[in-house]
Amino acid sequence: MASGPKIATTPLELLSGPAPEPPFLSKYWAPFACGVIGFSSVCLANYVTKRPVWSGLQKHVLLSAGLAGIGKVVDDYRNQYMADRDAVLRHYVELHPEDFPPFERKQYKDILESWIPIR
Amino acid sequence: MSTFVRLGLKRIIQNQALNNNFNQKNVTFIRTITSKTTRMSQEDVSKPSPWPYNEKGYNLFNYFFDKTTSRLDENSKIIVVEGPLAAGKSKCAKQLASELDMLYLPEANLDMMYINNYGFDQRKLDSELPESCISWDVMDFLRNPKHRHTLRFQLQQYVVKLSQYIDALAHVLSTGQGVILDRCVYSDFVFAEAMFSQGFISKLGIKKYYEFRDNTIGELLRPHLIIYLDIPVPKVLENIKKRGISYEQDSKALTPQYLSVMEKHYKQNYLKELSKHSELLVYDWTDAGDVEIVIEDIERIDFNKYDAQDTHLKDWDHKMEEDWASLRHKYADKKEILMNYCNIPCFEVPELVVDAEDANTYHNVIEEAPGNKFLPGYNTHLGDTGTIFKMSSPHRNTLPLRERRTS
Repeated sequence: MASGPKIATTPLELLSGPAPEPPFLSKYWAPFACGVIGFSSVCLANYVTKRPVWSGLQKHVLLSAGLAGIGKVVDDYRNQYMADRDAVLRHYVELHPEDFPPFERKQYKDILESWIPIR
Repeated sequence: MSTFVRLGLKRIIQNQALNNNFNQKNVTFIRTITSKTTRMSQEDVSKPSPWPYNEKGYNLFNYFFDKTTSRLDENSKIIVVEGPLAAGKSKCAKQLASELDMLYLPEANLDMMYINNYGFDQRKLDSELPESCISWDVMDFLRNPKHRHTLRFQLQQYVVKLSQYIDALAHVLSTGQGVILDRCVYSDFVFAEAMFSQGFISKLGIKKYYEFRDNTIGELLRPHLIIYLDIPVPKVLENIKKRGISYEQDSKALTPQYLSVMEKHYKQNYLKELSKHSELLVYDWTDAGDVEIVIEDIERIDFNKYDAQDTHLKDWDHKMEEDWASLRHKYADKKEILMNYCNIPCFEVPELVVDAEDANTYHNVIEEAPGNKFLPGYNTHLGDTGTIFKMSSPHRNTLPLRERRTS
């Protein structure tokens, strides 16, 4: 059998339980991308204003760090927002179990119709 | 009731202020330009130190803390020395400047434009440039006046003079020190007219020249005083011989006709128009008169004799502190915007149109020239240091005080 994340059998199960560890790239993606944007925009600004690309190194450091920080804050806010939303849904599901029966598992053979080639 | 109290208080305070002014201080009214020697005998009036307009901006926040009129005094004037070629203008202007303790700006020339901040002369690159883009300064014009570049040369002269006049205004308003100019942007058209009369520039060309002039000249404040050093045309030719600048002596342009057209436009257009606004002193300078006498005459001029309805010195008649502040801001900080008024398309004048390919070569060559690669202060290969942490750019593009080369 193929191993993988456990498949939820009920809606409640889907909304609860420990979340899987996110991959490294998506964990640091937002601060990393914002930092790169900050750095390259300083380089571009230097180039456009006829300065050497590396002049004013403090600008590179400050803007990359600042934008990376902003990226981190925004990403954290988004994660928190989604966690709150899941908690609200979970609470609702807990209060109304009768509306959320366990999933009925289906297989593709039940969904797909048999193919009859007709021209 | 409160109105009574307020008005009453105001009256008491004002009366006291008036009494203070007239009883305790010894008020003397000084109205004229004074020379250094006259000033020495007078009481020293403390003024704020000159505003470094080349490094620091003056915006409307500064206006609350730094009053422009606090630096302006009777010597904060713009004086222009005019006259035909080789009349002894620059010598006279220099002496006047040192006597009156003013700033002398040498006659605007294309050396101010062609030589960059690192002392590299762009004219050295002419061999690499296409014929349509080579440099053309006064030396080339005098040697070969019928060339198609004459019009471009004359327009560039105008632009440099405009730039210099903006600097002069910025200097007067920011530091309170007077400025003495050797010819100015207002008189530049006499050269264009003389060139046109001799067929050096075309009819379209002179039309374009006046388009440049009309588009920009209204932004400036006319000078306070014009000193015209008059010498007759034969004497001009003699002086040119005596001065011995090779390209002037052998010039095909400096004919008696050319010089007399210049003189005609100087006297009948320029002086006539400007004397409606500025004070005018005219001297027969055939035998190079005495500058001391000029100074005495200047000291006698009363610049405050005109009332608000008079056209004289109208450009300098501002009642509100804010008006002075915005003028100072305009000339000290917004020079680039004023210079952009020279950005006039010239596609209908064939002398001014350059092939796209030639223009491309020109831009590439100029970009590669030493000192043009980066902003001034950022060219490490030319000895600039500390660029790794440097952020500043030159605040203002002020023309250098560079004399015309004579060989």
